[in-house]
Amino acid sequence: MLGSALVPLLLTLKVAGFATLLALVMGVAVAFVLARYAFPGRDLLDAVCTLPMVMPPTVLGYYLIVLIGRRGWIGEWLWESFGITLMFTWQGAVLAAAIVAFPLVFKAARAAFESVDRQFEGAARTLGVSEWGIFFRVTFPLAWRGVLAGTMLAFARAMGEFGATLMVAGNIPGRTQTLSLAVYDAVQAGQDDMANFLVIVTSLVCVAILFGSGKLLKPRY
Amino acid sequence: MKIRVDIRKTLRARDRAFTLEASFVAEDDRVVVFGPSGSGKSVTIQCIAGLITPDEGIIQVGERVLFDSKAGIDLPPQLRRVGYVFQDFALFPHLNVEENVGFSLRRGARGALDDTQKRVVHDLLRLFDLESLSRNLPRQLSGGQRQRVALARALITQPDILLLDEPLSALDPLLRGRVRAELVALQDRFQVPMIVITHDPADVEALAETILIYRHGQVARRVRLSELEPDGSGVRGERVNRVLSEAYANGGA
Repeated sequence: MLGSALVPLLLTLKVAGFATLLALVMGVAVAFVLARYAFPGRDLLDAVCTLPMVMPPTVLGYYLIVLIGRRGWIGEWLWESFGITLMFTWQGAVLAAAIVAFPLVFKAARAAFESVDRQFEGAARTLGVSEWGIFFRVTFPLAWRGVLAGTMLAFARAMGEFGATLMVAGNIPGRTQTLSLAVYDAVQAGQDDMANFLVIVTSLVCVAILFGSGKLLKPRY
Repeated sequence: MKIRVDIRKTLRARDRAFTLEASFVAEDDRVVVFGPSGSGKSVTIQCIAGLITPDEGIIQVGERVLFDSKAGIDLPPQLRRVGYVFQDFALFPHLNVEENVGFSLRRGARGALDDTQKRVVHDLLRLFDLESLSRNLPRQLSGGQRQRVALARALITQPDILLLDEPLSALDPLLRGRVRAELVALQDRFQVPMIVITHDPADVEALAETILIYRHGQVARRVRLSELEPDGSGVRGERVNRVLSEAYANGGA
């Protein structure tokens, strides 16, 4: 049983890991721009970035198919130029999970950046430090705990991703079948022991993550 | 050094608007900006530092033009060579005293100091009586120590001018007398012109060579104390107090 649970567990960690990384880079970049610069359409961009949090994952999955399916806007170009497709691959699952997890990083990072007193950045400017230097030496170090807390939530969310992943990557054992899909299969097939085991593993990982992110959100300075 | 400021800036917050129209020339090395809160003192020095961009006008420190809307000049704060000490000091809370003071010695994304830079920092820390605290974080310091860190951090850049936004208001009243004397000594030692904001007449008396009295977003009056006391006679405190009360009597604050 452990062996057959190991395959979806490792795949889940791989998919959730890459998806979280993708969501982190994108989320921090967008959050910083929205927290620090005013421009027309800012509120609309914020709403669009938050959308994956409230939309049904199947709807997101459908949008993704429209984009990256073989006849999709990006998918067709990818297929014709490079002969690759993201449909029914673990990379496709990464993309689906990243989009679902993105708002959690984005929201936490935006709140974290907004909580950094602008005066520190002003002080750093009068001290001659470049804007990049200010981001890496002042703003991010003061915001990273909030960003990390959001990232951990995003990882937990990516681990549990079901709907969008199923639509885009399918449910192929050993290739795209993640934990949550394996739980569904085990229950459908009446393998209660397997289902129990997978559920307990998933629950433990998620509790550990929530506990850790709760600690990080407590203010320090 | 001659400082020339002639700027306009309108700030809006919801239904209220505030217009600053500050115009003055100051040649003394210790300029005190005096006026009630909300009269535009802080906005003025933030414009000089480049943290706020005026709508129009000109800002000149010595021979250097920092801002000139007509000529399209607007130096970023990084290039203005202006030292700024914030009212609550704005020390970086995640960096220790040494890292705060040495912050400007590295200007890119990496902040770690090399041995030469550390020596420069420690020479300055010794001067400010902070060397034993070099590993402490700002929250572990007293108000007076924080202020010395903020001053050292600003002075290490060897600025052309030092701007201080109510430098004494965050301090214990018992400490203020000593700190006023220290500021005068510091100005002598570093030969750096200072603009000091305050609404405490005692600060004006101790620090000012030129007084700029602000009211409703304008420089209502400029007084050079050297012109007020041409023969050096009279009690300085009384004369300063008379100037300040006259300014307030004319039209009220």
